[in-house]
Amino acid sequence: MNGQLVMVAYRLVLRLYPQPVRANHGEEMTGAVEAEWRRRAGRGMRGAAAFFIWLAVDVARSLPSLYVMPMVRRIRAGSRRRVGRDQPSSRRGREPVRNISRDLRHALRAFARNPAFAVTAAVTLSLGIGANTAVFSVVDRVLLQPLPYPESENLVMVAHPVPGYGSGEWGLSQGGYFYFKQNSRTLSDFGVYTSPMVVLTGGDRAERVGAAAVSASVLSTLQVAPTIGRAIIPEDNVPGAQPVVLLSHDLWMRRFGGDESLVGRTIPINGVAQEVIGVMPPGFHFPGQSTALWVPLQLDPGARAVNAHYYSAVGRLREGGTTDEAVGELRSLVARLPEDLPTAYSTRFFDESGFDVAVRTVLDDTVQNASRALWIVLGTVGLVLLMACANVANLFLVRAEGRRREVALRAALGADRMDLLRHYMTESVVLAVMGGVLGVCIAYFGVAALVAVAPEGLPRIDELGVDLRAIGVAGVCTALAALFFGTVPLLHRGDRDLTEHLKEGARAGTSGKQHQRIRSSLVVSQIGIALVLLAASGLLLRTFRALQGVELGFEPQSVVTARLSVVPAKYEDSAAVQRFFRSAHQGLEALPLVSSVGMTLQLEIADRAYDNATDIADLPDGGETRQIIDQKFAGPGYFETMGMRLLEGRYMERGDLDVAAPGAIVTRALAEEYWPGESAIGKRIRPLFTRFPWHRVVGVIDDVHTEGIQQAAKPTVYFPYTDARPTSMAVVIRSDAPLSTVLSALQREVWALDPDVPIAQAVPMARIVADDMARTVFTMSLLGLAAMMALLLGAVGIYGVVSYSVSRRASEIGIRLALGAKAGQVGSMVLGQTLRLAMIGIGLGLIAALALNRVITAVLFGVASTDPLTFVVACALLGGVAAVAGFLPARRAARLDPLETLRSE
Amino acid sequence: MSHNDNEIASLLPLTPVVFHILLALMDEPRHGYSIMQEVNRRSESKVGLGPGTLYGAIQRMEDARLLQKTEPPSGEAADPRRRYYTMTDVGRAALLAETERLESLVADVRQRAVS
Repeated sequence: MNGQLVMVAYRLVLRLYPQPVRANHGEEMTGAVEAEWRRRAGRGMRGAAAFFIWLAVDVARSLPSLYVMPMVRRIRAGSRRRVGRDQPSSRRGREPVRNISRDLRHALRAFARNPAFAVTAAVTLSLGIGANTAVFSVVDRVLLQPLPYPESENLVMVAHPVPGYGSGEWGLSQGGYFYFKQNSRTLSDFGVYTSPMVVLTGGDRAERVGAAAVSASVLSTLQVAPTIGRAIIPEDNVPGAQPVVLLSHDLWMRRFGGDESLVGRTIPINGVAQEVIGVMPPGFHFPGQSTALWVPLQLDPGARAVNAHYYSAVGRLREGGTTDEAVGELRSLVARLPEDLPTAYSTRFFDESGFDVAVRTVLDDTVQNASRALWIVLGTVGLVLLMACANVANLFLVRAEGRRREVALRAALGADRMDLLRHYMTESVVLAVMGGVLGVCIAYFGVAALVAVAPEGLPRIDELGVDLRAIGVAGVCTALAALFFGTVPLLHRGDRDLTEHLKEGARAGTSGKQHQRIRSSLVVSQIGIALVLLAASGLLLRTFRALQGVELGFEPQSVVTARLSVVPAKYEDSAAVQRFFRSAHQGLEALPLVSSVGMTLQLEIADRAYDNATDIADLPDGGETRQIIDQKFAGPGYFETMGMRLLEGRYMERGDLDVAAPGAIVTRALAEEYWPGESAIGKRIRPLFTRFPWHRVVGVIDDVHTEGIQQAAKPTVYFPYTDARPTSMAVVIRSDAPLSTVLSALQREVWALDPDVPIAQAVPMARIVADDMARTVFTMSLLGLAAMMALLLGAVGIYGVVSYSVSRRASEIGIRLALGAKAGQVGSMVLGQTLRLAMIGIGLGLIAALALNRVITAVLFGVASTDPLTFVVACALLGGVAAVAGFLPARRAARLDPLETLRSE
Repeated sequence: MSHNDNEIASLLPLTPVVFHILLALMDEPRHGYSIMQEVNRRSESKVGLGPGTLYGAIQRMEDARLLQKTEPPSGEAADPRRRYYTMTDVGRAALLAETERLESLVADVRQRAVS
């Protein structure tokens, strides 16, 4: 948020001040505000928030006193000038500005006379507007705003769906990349990349950072150039070229102190000296937030095309092109692959895999998962704003009812309909502006709170803030709210006879039925909305409970994990690397504070399994089959440490790593699928890609949710990690010692073996599980908050309507009581009215909730979107709140003194 | 002196904001923002003076002749938007009268607390 905007806003606020103060001191006031903003804004979000509170308090405090004090003084001085202040309407047209400012003053005075009304209305509105602005800020940043690349709407991701091999998508092959690049006309530029993790050595400590190996065309496709030095050029991609590296601005500042002379020097990456050729602009992190450097991908156009799909791809649509067009063209190119790249693609492969091509905009790709939850939240707070507006409209209606006489009097004294409209619109606008200003303050805090509780994986969360667009949204909300509740009371003023108004004003008779009906329907719709929100948050609460009850298949408590990555260049061969991991394992195992230790390539939840072709033998019919199933690679100790439950056989042992007689562990689901009704122990299975000998199943473990709590446990096989020849593994340590103690022991052991191995991503396993749940929790807490506000607003609405109708019907009730009605009968009559409204609202709400339940299904887990229990509880809760809100006026009605009410007639 | 005791008496009691503004102007003329900072410093931000409150009060105090505009002290950077205010004799008298009033209140409380 910038200072200019604050000043523009303050100048608008300044117009509310009385003319003498504005004329004499306006400039000075703006100057003081500007100085204060400069002083406080330097202290970040907190400072800015403090500034807005300070300013809001000042406006709220000074405005009423500036208008009320002169009045008080005049009254004290015995002045009777208030009588006759209203000029004949014929003179008004000539002084519109003065009229508006007078209406403003009237409005403020009216609010000062009835602060409870003004405060209730403004606070109600500010809650609605604030919640909307805060959530819009999130949605805007995450979903709506273009990515920070030129014409980013034209950027697309390209991938290969392979329905025949499962739901995952493949990247591009090298041959396919060159083929597309050469032949595509719908893509003006096109690049491929991979996202490895690399180890930076040299300097004080080794560090593992995210990297991207890119074709030169990735940077030209994104149209982003380094701020210092040169970009990666096609020559850098040629195999055997001098190794070079581009640094992210962050990494350059953090690790190298922003030293410009670094360009041209070399730094060791994975143990190989690479020349720094440039630094990318701040904020550039393609393809992911953790990307800290870019190295050239080695690409050989002359290489023989093979069916190996390692590369992610980003392209730029030509001017005016669409993704559909691109898909159409790339599909026709794919269809020619068996003919043009016969070494890689056979028609048989095509038939089996259903090899296809997909093109999505980068923005869609980035936010695919987050969008559903965020839209739900935005819809929710939109409903809350609607409820807030309905409440304020109700307040206005009640007020309008009470002011019939005043209106009639104004009309009798010559005010025409335009005057009345302007008068009441001014009131609603002033109120809406107050609500809006307060709402923006709430939003400022709200966003800070949202960022604090947001799950780590939420894309682009770091770019968040309340900005001009969000304030624009708050403004629109405000304007709509003002229009809505400003005109509702006026719509029903009608063209009825003036004297009728005066008569009605004098006698609280049967009139105002129409108003009562509007208010009732407002309350009914509020209850309906509240039910929708309550049911939604109830379903999410049950989702949360279900997630907590999920049997993960392992025990994350007391397990610490960290990733160890060696620099392969330091080791003579793969066997030496495996010896390092074995030594590290043994060293850690010997520590007294460690109860067990294990290693894996793919940590549960954090890393994906490979879904690869696997041969499974000894089937019940004696044959074998080749299937795509989830493969994981782990070593001895891993299963015990993770607390995975052994159902049969034994855990993996050191001997199972032996190539001569390798062993494997399978999950229950796999064992039951392929060897139903018999023991899986001793059965043969092997990973296809390594051409390894058959592995014997040595143990069966219970199912494991390897891909996250919300994903079903899939049949999985764990092969010995030595099969995959890893250079980077996650180590898991079970220990009751504190995290820091475990980590320092880990550091000692590992660095004694090889000081260049960084220890990265060190977290308690429980944290990984918690983060996985975080997105659901995030949505749930927002929805829960909205539902609570809805319940509150609904209760206030019911109370207001019933309470007002009781006071309007006081004489009727008085007569009933005088004629012998029991207090209890009167009370239940009023309560009955409340419950009738509540029932209608709940009924309509149920219909709406069931109609909308498809929206929420995507974020639910372990509970049906029509879960009866949730709906019954929501209805009961709402009915109970309605009964309580109706009880107070009912009791008042029952206690009315008939004599008193009849006398007031 | 251009004022009489009746005029002063009609101004009492001073509101905390007016009292603090006069206090801030006791030693030297100040511009508005400087008054604001001084008041907030002296009251440890308890008075929490903002622009609306400050200039509303200044407007009223000018009307009541408690303070008046003055030339910027020589040596201060001239920001054309800033106007300097100084306490009038009426203001000084009102401040002293208010202080006496508070003193007698304080003395009263002390005496009762002791006895």
